[in-house]
Amino acid sequence: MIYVTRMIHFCAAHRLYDATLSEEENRERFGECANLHGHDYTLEVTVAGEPDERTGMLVHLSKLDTIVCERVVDRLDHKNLNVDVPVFSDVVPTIEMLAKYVWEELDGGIPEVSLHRVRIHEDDLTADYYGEAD
Amino acid sequence: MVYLTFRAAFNAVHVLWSPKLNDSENLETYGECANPAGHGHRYRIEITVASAVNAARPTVITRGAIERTIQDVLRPVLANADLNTTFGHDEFISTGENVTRAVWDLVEPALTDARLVAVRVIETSKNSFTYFGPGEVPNRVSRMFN
Repeated sequence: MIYVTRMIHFCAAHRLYDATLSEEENRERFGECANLHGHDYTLEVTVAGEPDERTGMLVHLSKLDTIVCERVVDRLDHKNLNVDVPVFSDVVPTIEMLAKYVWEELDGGIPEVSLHRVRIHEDDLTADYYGEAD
Repeated sequence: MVYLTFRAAFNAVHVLWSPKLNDSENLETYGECANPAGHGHRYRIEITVASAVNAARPTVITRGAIERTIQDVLRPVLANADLNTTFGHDEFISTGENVTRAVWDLVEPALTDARLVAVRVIETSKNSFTYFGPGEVPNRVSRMFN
């Protein structure tokens, strides 16, 4: 079993704000993160499996990039997560929920490998998600 | 159990080309990495070893022992080397996946004092490869590194 990790950068704006709570409760819960602000994100996608003996590769990295970009990064990069990404219209776009979103978009969508981990770095903060089965 | 990770880096050249594929399949599969004149990377290698420690055995492995292993076993093979030929296997395809397993095969028999747990090869700032040896990988272990 070999684990291959690919890193892709993107940047986006978001605010941590729960519309079902009052302005005061949002301020109390999320502090200054309740204001619209931005981050540089680094997404790490780790896949696992046995490399193909003919090519020596587990996964074609540029094909992996294409899948990750089409399913995830193109929808997030230079976007306002609360406004431009439908799933976050009623889900607070925390790094935790972002990691889960990326997992759900990618899981089962990368041929011939299993998705092992989604890691997201939001500036200095890191979230890891291994799927609901974990 | 304590896990210790040591790091080394080597510059090397390679060409991605598989003898099991024809010319057009090779070019399609490997793209610019198939340039026959070669291209190179600074390969950053992480070697993780583990053992229990106690008052009588306060180190997993001494720094000297692991550094000797890297000097004796890895440096002659990897430093400024051609990865297509340096491992001595016929028809070696020098992908990150295969280089990582080849590094494991060099280091594992050379370590007598500690158990090798993981080899990670960081090929570029955008991709890395991890191998925990043949056999089942406990979740706990795979998650420490991935």
